[in-house]
Amino acid sequence: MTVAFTYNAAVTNTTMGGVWNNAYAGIFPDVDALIEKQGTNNFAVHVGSAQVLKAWTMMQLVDLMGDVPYSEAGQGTDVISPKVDAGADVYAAAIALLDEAITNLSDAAAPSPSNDQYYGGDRTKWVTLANTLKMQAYLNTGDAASFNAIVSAGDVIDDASEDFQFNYGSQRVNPNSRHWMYNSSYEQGDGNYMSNYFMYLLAAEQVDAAGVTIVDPRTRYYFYRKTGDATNLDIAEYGCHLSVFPDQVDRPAHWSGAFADLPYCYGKSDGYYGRDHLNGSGTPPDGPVKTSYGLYPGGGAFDYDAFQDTRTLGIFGGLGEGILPVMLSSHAWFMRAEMDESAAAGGGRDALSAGISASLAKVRSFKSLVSAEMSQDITLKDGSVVNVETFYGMTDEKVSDYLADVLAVYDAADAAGKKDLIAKQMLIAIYGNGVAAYNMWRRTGLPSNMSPGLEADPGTFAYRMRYPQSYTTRNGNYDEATDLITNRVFWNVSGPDSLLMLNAKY
Amino acid sequence: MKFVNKILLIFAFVGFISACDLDLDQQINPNALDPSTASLDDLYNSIQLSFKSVKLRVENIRLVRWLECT
Repeated sequence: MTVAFTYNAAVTNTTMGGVWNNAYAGIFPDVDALIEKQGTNNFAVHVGSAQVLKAWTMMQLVDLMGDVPYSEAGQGTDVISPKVDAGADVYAAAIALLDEAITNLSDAAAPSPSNDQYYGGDRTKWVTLANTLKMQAYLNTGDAASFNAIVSAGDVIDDASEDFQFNYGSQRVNPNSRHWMYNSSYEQGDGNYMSNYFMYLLAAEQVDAAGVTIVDPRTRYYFYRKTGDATNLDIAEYGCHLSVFPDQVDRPAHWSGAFADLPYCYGKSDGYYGRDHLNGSGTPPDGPVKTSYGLYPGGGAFDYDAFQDTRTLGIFGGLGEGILPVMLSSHAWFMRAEMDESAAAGGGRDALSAGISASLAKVRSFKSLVSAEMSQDITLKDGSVVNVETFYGMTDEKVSDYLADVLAVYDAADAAGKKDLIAKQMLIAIYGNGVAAYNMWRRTGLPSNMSPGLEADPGTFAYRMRYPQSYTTRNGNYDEATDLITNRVFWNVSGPDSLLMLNAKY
Repeated sequence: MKFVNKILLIFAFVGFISACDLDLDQQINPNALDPSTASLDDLYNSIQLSFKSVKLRVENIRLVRWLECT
């Protein structure tokens, strides 16, 4: 998706090129080769874990594009223009492949891989992951019976030790093993913009029954601010689009009603300076002031009001030793919360609580990357001396207080409000795994009141990505009529409508 | 002189035969590898890294990232 003011202009036929190539020219033929190589040998655990990754990739292709080639794909010159299979068929094939993978992974006679980068060769965790992926598929398709059957069987990811994640290193060159977020914001470049809405969601959106803001304790771990005042920057540093300065009187007229509290041009005035949704404006010289990725999950810096420039040629913060959170226990708990809440109002409370707790613990554990900064005592402006972690970071008390506050809001909410709160908490917890959020949004239309585009009419929301150029220009079976961003993937056919509809609803 | 020629001929003949007998025939096309010649560890590693790339590329789709970035 390129920078643009409309969804239609933003999603192009280059968006999915890399994913497509990795799948059809990487994973799929490599897994086939691995199976062929097995021959009379027994590499069942290798094959089983690879099948899990292949099945997951198949589901992701469907999630993002809908109908994709599968049954005729990868046959070389025998089938030079493979036709697309229905997304439902590819999903069914992926689930069958997961079952086959579970069988392979249960082969006690097969050796474990010595270079398993995710689970260190622990085959039981791969089985747990496969079950959790099936759970995810059934959540998308709305198959509650199959979903609950897997949960009842008990072997799904529910503990941090089963988290499926890719671990990055701290080595800067030859090769650079650092997290992409760190490379984006902590080298020479200005780095990506943070979402003003997402920063607002953590730092200001949540309120308790008395109207007091519940600041999420993950905020200072997710974002690193370079300034303490987003309202007083240099005139050249703003890129607000509708005005020179972030004056709230200049906010988009259509940001009314349910969006009335959403800040314009920044996420929160005390330094959370990012970009509004669908702001396709050019980039001003705002590198020294715009908010950067933080400590989690990219291994950046912890925000304790030091307001330093992160562009330090890679010597600042956690040195990029972060994670790619692919399927964490918190994600799995939130899937269960969503399904349980759909079954009965209030039914998702326990899973919601478990999901929030798992997420907070995961984020908090990243303090080990910046232990020197966290353990230091600093002097505040009023002369008092405080410990950084105790004052700015998570403590047991802050964690329990936050959980109690959120659950109190949940308990007081009506049925729609409970679902909305679960969605917001899931969106916060799955930071770093945007496709899960994209699926949730299409599945539920929640969270409510997410930031609309800056322009009043950004077009219909993109319910899918376009096919990549390598497919559209080389496959004789490509049908342009089916390649619209307004089409929906099979499990989203009856899903909620766009942001504007939500605006009217809430 | 004739003796020298005979010796040279013998050496040439032996050399010719040896060249044919020794395993110097590198006729396997390196561009047409099949799984039997692939390294198990390398193949498995490639699958894992390709999957990571898929996740990474998906994460960097701006629409997907809008939910957390722009």
